[in-house]
Amino acid sequence: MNVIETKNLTKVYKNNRGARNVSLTVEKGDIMGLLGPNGSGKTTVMKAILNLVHSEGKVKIFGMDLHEDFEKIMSRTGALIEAPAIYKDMTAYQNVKMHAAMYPGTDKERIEHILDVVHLLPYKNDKAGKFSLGMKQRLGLAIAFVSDPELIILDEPVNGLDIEGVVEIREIIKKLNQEKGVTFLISSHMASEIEKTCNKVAVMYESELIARSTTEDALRLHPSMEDYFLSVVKEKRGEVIL
Amino acid sequence: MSALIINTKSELKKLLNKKKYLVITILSALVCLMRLGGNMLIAKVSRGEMVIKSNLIMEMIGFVTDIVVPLVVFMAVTDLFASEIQEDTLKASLMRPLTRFKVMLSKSLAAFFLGCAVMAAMFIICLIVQIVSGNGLASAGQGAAAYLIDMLPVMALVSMAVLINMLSKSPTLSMLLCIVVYILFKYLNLYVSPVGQMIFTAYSQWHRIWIGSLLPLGAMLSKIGILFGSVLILYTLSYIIFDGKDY
Repeated sequence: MNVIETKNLTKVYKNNRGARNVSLTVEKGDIMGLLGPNGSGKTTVMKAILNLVHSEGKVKIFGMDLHEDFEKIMSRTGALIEAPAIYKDMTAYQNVKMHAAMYPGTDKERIEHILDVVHLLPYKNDKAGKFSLGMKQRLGLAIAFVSDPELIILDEPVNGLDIEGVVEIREIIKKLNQEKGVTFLISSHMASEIEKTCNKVAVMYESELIARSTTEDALRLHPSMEDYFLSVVKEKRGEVIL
Repeated sequence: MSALIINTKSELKKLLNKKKYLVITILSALVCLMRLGGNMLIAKVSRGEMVIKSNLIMEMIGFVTDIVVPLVVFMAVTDLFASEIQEDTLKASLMRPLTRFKVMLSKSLAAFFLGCAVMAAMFIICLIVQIVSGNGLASAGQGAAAYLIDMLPVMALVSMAVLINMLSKSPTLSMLLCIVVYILFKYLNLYVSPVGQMIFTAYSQWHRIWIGSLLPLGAMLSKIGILFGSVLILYTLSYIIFDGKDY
């Protein structure tokens, strides 16, 4: 079953950047990595999937039309896009609670559990405005995870995290995927991160989706995800691959 | 419907978390006390010859509806729209299971309820001060009705502030524009007749039309039409802009 299906998704900004004709499919249980350099259109695709920007083309999530069934779709989806949307005047607990209030059955225990998962429970009563970049990122992840969603969309989720944090988040993603069957769409410009976390990869380059593969296939033919990326980019440019 | 109520509560909590609204209410209460103090001073200076038996609730209503509540509403709307756009937190609301219409409505309702809460708080403060100062419960019932009726035009103020927030690019500019446009409208209300009376800010003291008024029914209906028509037009324009934006 396709959890995300986009057909010719196009969103071009005034500076001529964005995403052009992106047709992407994410199946249930996938951890799909969207790999590409900065400015390649990864965030635009994610924003279009979440209806944060108006785009052309078709977007279906859980088989439903994004615009017609937005509320139903978002009740099953968690997301972290760009910098975490955190209210500085509120504590970590209040921030998560505010989001959790929209989802019936998300009680205090669940909120504290999710704060514990991202190692923010000791700081639950601290104002989020005083958090470091890494802590804010963890809080953003807690907000994305708290509603127990079936689909989680994460834009550069390990931004600002230290090595330990990166490993922890990777473990959480894998655990949620394996134990609860949560589907992930994760963007990153770090090939190694996609290689270690995702089972499928889609490469974005200059606003276009230029390649798709399973991580396994990509690594069978290339020594690393980095090499896979470079090879598809060179192929796109029409350069000779040695 | 329940999602809208939950989100309105969340938006209201965001506002209540900011201390500035409490500070404004306290400062307004001080103005109320100063007014009473002034009356007492006059009585003292005139050695009891000039005792002002004041109806503080009704004396303060103009200050509350024309200055305090508009200020609170403009700040609240700016906090919930322009500031959130600038701080990139608006997308948190937009990624909840709510349509953009409901997101905008819940934010507007939160600003409206905060304005009403400040108005109710000021009524209670004035009532307490009036009782403590020995002026009794004179016209308390009428005052309560007047404050309640004056909550309705707050909707138009919210709609105006939302539209300005949709058009401006920064919270500072939004706040400034709200104040400037409001002062301009008030000037038109007072000095440019009859056009000035067509602007909704002429009805910030809505109770004057309803309590003890001898206006014919046609005129009353026309004023209701102007107020709610303004709300509808301003709100629709705001929604069109809000819905068309990328975040």
